[in-house]
Amino acid sequence: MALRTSIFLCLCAIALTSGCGKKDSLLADFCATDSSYQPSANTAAAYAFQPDPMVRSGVQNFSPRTARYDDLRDQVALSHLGGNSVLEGSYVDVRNGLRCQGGYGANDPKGRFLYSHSDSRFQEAMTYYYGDSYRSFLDSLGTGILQPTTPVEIWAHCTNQDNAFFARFPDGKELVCLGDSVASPGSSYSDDGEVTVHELEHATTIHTYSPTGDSLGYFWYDEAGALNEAISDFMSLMYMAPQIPSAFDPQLFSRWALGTFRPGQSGARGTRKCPMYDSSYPNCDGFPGAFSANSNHISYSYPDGLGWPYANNFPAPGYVRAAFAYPAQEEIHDADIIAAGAMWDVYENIKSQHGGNVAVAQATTARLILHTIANLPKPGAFSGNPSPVDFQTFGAVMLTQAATEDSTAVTAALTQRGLVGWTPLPSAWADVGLGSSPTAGVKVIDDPAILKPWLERSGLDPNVVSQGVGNGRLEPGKTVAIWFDIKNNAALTAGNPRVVVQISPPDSSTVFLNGRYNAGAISPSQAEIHYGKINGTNIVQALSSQDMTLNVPTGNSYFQTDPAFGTSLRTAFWVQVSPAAVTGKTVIFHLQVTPSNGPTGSVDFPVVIY
Amino acid sequence: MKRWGLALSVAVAVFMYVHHFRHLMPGNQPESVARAFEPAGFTTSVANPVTTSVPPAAFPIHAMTQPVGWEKFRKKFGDDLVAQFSPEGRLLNMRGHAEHSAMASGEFRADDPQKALARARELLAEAASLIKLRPELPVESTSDHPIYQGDETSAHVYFHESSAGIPLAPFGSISVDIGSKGELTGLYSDYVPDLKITNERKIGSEEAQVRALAVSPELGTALTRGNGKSIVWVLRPEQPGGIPEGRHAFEFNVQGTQVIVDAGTGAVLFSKDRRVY
Repeated sequence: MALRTSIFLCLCAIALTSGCGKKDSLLADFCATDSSYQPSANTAAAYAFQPDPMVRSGVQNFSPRTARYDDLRDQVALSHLGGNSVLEGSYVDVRNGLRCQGGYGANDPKGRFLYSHSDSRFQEAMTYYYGDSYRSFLDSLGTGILQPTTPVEIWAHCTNQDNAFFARFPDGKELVCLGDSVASPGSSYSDDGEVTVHELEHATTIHTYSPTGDSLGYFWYDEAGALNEAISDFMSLMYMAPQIPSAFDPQLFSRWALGTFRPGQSGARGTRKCPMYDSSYPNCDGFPGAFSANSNHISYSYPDGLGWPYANNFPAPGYVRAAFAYPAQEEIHDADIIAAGAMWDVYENIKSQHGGNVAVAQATTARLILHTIANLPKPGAFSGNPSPVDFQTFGAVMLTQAATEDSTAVTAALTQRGLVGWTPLPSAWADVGLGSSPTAGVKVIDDPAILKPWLERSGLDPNVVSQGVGNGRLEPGKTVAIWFDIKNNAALTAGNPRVVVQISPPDSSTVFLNGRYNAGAISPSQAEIHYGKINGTNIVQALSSQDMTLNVPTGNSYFQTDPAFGTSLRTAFWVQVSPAAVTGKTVIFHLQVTPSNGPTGSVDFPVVIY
Repeated sequence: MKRWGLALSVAVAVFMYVHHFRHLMPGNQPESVARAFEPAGFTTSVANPVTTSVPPAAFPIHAMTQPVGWEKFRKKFGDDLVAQFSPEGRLLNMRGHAEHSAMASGEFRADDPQKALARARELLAEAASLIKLRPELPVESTSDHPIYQGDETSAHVYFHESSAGIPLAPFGSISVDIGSKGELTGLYSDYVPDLKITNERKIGSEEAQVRALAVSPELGTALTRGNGKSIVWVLRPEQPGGIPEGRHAFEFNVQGTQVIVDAGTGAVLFSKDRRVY
């Protein structure tokens, strides 16, 4: 009995490790089986929210916690179906993740996909509706525009997470995953048509940029990644705009899922010229140069407008002061707003250029964006630049792709946002900042209670951190995360600085960890990363106030630009000091810092091994 | 009997642990991903990359050492082409304006895949010595490359390097951007000119999949795809001038995380969250 039990336990462990053994018992009884596939028409009927429950209700503060969802459904027509009674079509292939393990849930040879919101097949049908509609719009723009040309697989109910994502697989399969809300049980990201379009646009953007391995965005945080998000936000907003009634803001992205699922914490983004806590929102008086702590003004213009959160989750009276403390200003969805806004302005200008014709403006702008993506520089990770795209590159390439008659309209929009026609930083702008005590110029996190959970959450080996306690210093035998407090002596802010660090001279006792830990690992003595921005002196002055309830405690160095820089591993360099390292020795970290809007600056950061 | 059962249980568990997590143990860290060269623009004088004009100069492209053949190439395909070379003189990328670049001879249509492929091959052949292309590391021998994308305004052709028919990763891509009349507007090379493969395939895709599945943290998701693709995973040399090391490997995507498993040892060489939210 004991032997049998042991063998059984071992087999279970093997089965679990290999990912087997969890399938069939969890399948819902409605999931399609081999006998489900029957000939059917290429069109069908379904229910969907157009485009989300809030807009459909007409109530601005509509809540998922009180929603009577079924009252808000509209019957819509599904097109381009493959004719086999499931939601597999020419443009999208919609499955049910959690209930059918990635198989088809909704299936009906009569083509009546008319479900209650509480039936998980409702989300499949709604996802098909928006996925098919959006991709057929892209296909209508002309031969060669729609990428990928094969249907994109979408899993509704993909995961129990307040999120949605796109991923590309080694076999070439491209997949969108739409989660179910944990914060608002019973609500799904598939309920928000703008989210479905956003994720599908990632498939198009990435495939257009590179049909094989490269993505648009290399590091956790870089402007290429933020641009990827901006394109998805913008394309979704532009495509949905005609469906948004005048009582709602067509420039607010995901008012439903991002805006309401997390109680009291809106994650909605948008393309206005200032954030929702700006005192002049939505008109955004003084744009593009309005930055003020006293008057609560922020302009989404490059580079000083980078990273300011869009939604108003902050207390009065010092909204800008409070927003400054937002912990994710370098995160690519927060850094994307200037680029998304620039694209919206281009769209509006083109619309004006074409007499207000929405259809012409949509088609012209979408073609322009996709041609721009196709002509962006590609990464050269082997020995070049792994992340060569930034917002200004995007703007410059867009100008080359604009039709002659639209050139003035495009230039005007991009200039206002600071993406073309910008003033460069002077040379010698970079310097050494104060750093964080006790190590001047840098911040060292060596506390294993902080580092090990970071590594574990990223699927990395926490045992590379072997020290027992931390004291913020480089010491023999430690593995640490380190940041460099680059100071900007110029009046202008440095955008998207590429930071290449070399241990000079190379020293085998102090090395960068490899590419699993340092995304920008180059060699044991060299690594690189991108920071979001480094304030210049002008913006520091603009955000200061005599009133301490309004004053923004910023400064002209990286640490003073993003006070939350050290709260995650996203911009950290991982450095390992050998147990045999000599105490008292000074290690020189030689930095080459290249912002998107200025020349390369060279700075040395000497750090003592204690 | 009871002891034997327990002993077997423990032995299997220990074996599994060692087998699965060997790469995480001291002394078995994944190979360092190092590269031989300074980042472009790092060691040579760099022109101020800032401009308020349009590409090609609107992003940092640094004309460095100009190897033999570059001027000839430029005269043939476009006087305004601007290139970036590695310190060893290997072409990394070049960009130009369609209006200043040479058009293709004969009838060219960017929306004709065959004509675009022919033009891309012509350009690549002319640039072969600049890129340091080598016949034993071809860029067309896999079944899925080259790839054409484009329309009437421009064509984009993607080549990929392979060794004995197995694609290289994460490097090895070459892309060629072509204007509506066949003009060269961009060429980007991540080509690895030399490679030393240091292992043999000893484990199969299914065994590698078990290793890959162990890497990704549980996300509470039904999404699991293990579909091992055979690749040669390239590690940058740790010292300048060294030869990059290639490892026969399998590539997986487990719940959105790319996982590279060594086909010789089963060690996880690399993993990266590839989800785009």
